[in-house]
Amino acid sequence: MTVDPVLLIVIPLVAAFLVPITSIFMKGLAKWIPLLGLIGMAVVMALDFGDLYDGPVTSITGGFGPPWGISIIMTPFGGLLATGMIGVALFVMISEIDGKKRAHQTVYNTMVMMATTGAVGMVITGDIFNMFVFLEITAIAGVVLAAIPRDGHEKGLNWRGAAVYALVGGVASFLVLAGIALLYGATSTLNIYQIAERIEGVDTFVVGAAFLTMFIGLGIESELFPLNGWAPEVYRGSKWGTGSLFSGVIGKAGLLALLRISFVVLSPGLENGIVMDILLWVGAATYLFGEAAAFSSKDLYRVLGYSSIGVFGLLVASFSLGVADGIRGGTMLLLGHMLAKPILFSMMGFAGRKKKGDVPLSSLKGLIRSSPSAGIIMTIGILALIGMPPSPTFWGKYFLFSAAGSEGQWLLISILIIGTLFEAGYLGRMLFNIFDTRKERKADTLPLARGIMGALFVFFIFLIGFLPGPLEDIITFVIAELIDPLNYISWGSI
Amino acid sequence: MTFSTTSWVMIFLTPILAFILGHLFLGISRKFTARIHRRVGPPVMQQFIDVMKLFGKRESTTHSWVQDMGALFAVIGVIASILFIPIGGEAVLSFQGDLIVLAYLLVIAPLGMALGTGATGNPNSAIGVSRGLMLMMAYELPFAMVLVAVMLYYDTASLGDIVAAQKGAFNWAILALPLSAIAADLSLQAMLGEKPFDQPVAPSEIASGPMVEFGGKYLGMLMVWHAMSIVVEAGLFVDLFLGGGVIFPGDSVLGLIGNIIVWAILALMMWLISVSINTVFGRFKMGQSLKFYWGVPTLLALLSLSYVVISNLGVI
Amino acid sequence: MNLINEPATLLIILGTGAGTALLLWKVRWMAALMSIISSAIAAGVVIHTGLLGKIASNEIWEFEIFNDLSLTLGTNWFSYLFLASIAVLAPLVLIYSWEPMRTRQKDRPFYGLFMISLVGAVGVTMARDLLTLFLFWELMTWPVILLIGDGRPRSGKAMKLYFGFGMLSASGILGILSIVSWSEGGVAYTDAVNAMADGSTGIRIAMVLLGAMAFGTKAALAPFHIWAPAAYGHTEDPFTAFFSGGLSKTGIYGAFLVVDVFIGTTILISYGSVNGLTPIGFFIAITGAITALIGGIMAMMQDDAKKLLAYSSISQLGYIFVGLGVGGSTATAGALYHVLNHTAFKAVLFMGLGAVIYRTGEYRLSKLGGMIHVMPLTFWCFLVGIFAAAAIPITSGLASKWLIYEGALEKGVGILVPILFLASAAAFLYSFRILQGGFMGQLRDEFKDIKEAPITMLIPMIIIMIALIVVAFIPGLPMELISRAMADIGMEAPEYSLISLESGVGSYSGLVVMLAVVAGFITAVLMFFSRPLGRHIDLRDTFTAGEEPIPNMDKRYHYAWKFYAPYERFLRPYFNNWIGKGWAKVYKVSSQVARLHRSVMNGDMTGYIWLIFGAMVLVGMVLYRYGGWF
Repeated sequence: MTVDPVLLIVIPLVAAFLVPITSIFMKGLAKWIPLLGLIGMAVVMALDFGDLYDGPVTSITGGFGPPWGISIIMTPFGGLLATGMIGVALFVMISEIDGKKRAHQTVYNTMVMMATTGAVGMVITGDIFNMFVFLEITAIAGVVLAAIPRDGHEKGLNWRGAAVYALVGGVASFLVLAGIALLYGATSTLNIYQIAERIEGVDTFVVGAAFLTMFIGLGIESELFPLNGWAPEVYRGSKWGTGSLFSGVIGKAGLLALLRISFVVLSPGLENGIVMDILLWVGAATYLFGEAAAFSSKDLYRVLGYSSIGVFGLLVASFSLGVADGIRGGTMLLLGHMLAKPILFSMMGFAGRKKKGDVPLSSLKGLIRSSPSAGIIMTIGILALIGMPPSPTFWGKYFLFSAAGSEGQWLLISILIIGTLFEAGYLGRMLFNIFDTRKERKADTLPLARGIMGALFVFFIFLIGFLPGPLEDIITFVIAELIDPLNYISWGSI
Repeated sequence: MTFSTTSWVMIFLTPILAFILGHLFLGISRKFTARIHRRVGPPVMQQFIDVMKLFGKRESTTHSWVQDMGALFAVIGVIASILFIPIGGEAVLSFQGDLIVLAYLLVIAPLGMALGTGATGNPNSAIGVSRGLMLMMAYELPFAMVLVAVMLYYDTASLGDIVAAQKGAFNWAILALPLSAIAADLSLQAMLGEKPFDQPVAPSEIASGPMVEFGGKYLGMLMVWHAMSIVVEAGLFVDLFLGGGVIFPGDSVLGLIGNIIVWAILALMMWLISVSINTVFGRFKMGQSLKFYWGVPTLLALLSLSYVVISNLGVI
Repeated sequence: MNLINEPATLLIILGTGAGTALLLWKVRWMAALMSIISSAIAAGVVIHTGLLGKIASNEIWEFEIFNDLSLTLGTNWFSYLFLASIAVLAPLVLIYSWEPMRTRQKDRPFYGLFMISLVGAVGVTMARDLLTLFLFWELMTWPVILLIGDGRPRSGKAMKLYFGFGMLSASGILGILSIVSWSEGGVAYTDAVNAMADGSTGIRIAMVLLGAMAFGTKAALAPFHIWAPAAYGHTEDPFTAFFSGGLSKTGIYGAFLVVDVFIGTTILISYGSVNGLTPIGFFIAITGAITALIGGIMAMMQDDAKKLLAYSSISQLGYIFVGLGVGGSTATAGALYHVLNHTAFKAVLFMGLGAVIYRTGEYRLSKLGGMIHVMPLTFWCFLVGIFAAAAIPITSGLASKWLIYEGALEKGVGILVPILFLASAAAFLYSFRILQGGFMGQLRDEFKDIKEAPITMLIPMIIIMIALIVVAFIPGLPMELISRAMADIGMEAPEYSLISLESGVGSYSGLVVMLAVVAGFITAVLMFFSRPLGRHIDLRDTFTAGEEPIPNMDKRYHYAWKFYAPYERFLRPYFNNWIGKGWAKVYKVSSQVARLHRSVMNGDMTGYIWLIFGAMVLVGMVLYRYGGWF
């Protein structure tokens, strides 16, 4: 059944408007509206998901064809990512339903929804300026999210993270806008596939400049090295949900935008596949730096933050290998990360909720005894993140290794192995703390909602890990989109 | 596997021969030592008398069944190993198990004895055994190199073939591999447990070590083992380096008997060399023995081994 | 029924057991029963198929994952050898576990984890492509980590070491996988063979090194061995028997796979050889010999009995690597023979020790002693295991080592054999240390009333003990299997008959040696029983040089602490865990490097702005130089 994918944007926008209005007369309801909005998105997504097996789902707003109207192209890649994002957002929201009163709850919920809207919009829109608008929405929601402090120290806001992100996000937006302006000037259209069509004839100077600005701008959003200095600050002081969102939703949207603009639009305009090479090595460096930094961090929030940075690098690197197996691996890694990271953030948030300030590794100590369900869920999350079979990350790493092998990228393989060992190092440390039962710890019950969501994600991890086959059809489209821009162009020209 | 009549006879005779020779050797050595000490010394047959006496004791004591087992194991091991040592060129069983098998067979007796002594619960015996094993580890390195050198030199691991290959005038391995022979003789000193390497027994320190709780027939069994193991070890040296005592053509029974006599004399000679070193030395400490064996003998054995390996490669 | 050629059957049987055991882990007896039954059925299937000779070497069973990617399983005689030793050992160890696990605190799904790791190990031997191998490898490796933490001090460190080296091993396999996929575009074993045939020298060397990293780690090859003493020393006691006896064999299997199947003799010899000994082979053999020596000498210095056996395991596996490296029919047969032997005797050793620990709760040799008086049957089983480990001729242990020695001698490797002999001497030393410390000597008062090990623990031990002794008479029996296995990897087995083995330089007749021993036995018995039995006296009634025994003297009189003190003093400086320290150094340096990386991303805004600026300039320059910008 096909539902117009524009609903994915309309529903949350309506919901967002309803929040302040309802909060005037029904405070209780206002808290729930964002969740309802997200559920609406999820329903739309679920209805559309089957269609992704046959190719992209498109829609044109207001009946105007491009370049006048805004076209929505939910490619299978975008659809998959959007599904994941909605899933992560739902995970974050539902996990916190436990009847406890929290400060900033309404703002937080709204912002989660806004960030998701922006991110989903970014991945399904076919219009580059529209993408910029959604980027702004995401960024603003991100700033607010970054400012909301963790439970337990509601007194002050996480000013440092918010300020850094606001400042850098501003720079990023400016650069992206500049890039868009350059492209618009050269091709006189804002529709992505039309830009892609016309890019051949454009002066390389313009393409290069556009790539430079867009790469920096979107690289900041997707936490690429060395543009990710803001990330640790944001992860450090904010709620666990914010961390999940930054790694699973906001960053992923930036990543897809970067990939789409670089691969589909700009790469054909420059020589030697240089765009791919730059992305590949920036990705590899990000992976190495992220994992190494995570390895040497003591605070769990930071560890997971750096770890997300590393994964972003890994994703960029595997997509930019430019071979089918690399993209296949990247997609699996993407899914694996979107499933495993929220689990880790959530369980860590649970285990370290009583800590003021930094949450040291030792706060996980004896978790398997004090709260077995949390311990088991977190263990599976950790193993899934390292890439133990059966998990999506395992397939991802497998395809990545064989792709890198088949391309003869030995340097990349060594970076991957070293990075994996670092990754194993810090995740192993977490594991040992979980299973370190030498000291008795008071029993601690995992809130039901959190447990259910964790178990659900664990189920998905196993499902995809054991039976990745059904995703193959979608992955074929992902490969088609990223390997050959013509495919994307043909999907766009309705 | 086909056994000739001679082989069958030898299989039954060998243990008896070893028994007699061993006690004879011990008796001679006591006389020999006494003469060096300017004493008269006991009669040569004293050793037989001692063993008889021990077996004749009306009562003996044991701490556990493992002690019984240990005494049994010691004799089992030494009888099994003597059967694999060519005597006077007659291979007995040695074509059924070569030097490597023999090297491991030789361990049954000491390990079994060690078990028995350990079970007595006397710490002195445990100390003795620990010393004995450490000593074994010390001489094993040069001795293994010697064995390998000989085996590579003759390109066979079968002791019978090694003896056969040394047949003829001036064909003895001691002439071909003199350094190995020296290293082997140095190792033999510890193998036989003579000074300066008698730490395992060390009567004045640990009250005869392993034997401390053994009396009567138990001690008798150990004496038998000790006597026979001297024959095994000295005989092994003769087989490895002195042509196995083969001087006469071994086809006839007479020749075989002559060869066996020569073999016995050569083995006695090796034993007496060891005894004479014994008489003039004090006892090393354990660390000193290790340093000694992993020093000069190992170097000699290694030189010899390198020579064999390099010459096998055809470089020189 | 030809079950084994439908490998899924075997995995489903075991998988069902694993699943049930995991689900019912709170009801421990059910979990135990389910795992025993399923593993026994699996063992039955394996034995049955093997006896019928119905191993179809070429049949491959596929399970499709993606359109162009499927998992493949299959068995040939070569992998069957490993499969059989693992699958047959498992039910024995599981039966053995029944009693000790019954009383243990229910804090982890012992049987479930055991069974998963068994499924993994069986799968590893059945895999027919590197991806399947890797999958099962991980499945086998990681459950064990939860069985390692036995709560003793330093068990956390053991877990960490196991984890780290497990990761190293996994990366090694991934590395091999990348090489093969780069060369051939596929990951089946046939692709690996082709990759090596087509590949350059560099690729082949990389394969060997990665293989050492991947499989050598599991088989505790130096310098990847340092996890083993810690891990073996701290696993749940009943599991250690399977851990060391069974799981380590998959590492050996992988090593054989890399050297003898993927690379193969032809390629090895193409780099020149002396008497058929190749440079790569020599490298492997010398590493194995050093491993054997290090393991032996370290084992000699242990007071912790489990650690002693763990080091002994390292030492024994070193012999296998010598056999693998030396190559040729004799040494390879010896290595494969030693696989079977080691599986049996290491299992019985850990079982025997486990029984002692179960009854006494003590694992330090200096605190044990005198167990012969209370646990005689356990002692017998343990003794036979020790004899086999030390290759004493009255057990099957000699045959395999003999083949390895003879193989090395055939090829004229002068230096290997003395090192192995020294390792063997060390084996006598540690063997006796554990016998003396655990079973001999004074029985402590607090252990006076302990009972013999329970029957469920004794039966598996006795079965293995009997096997070890029977095979000593007929050393040719395992050679049936070994010769078929060698045929499947394109090698010819050495000459053998049921009772004797032949090599190029010598021969070993198990039956004759045993008959000689029996002859000795008869003589000795005649001699011994010609006189009345000795009078039994108390353990404390010993010679004390005239001193009055002090009350409470048993504590003083058990000589087991620092049993080889003079040697320890001498050897410690040279065997001071420098490999472990080296790894610690690697860890430390990488931590520092990691910290350096973090210092770049420290959240300092000024620096960050500069970084962004720098990145912009850099990317611009790259675009200018290579992208045709401007």
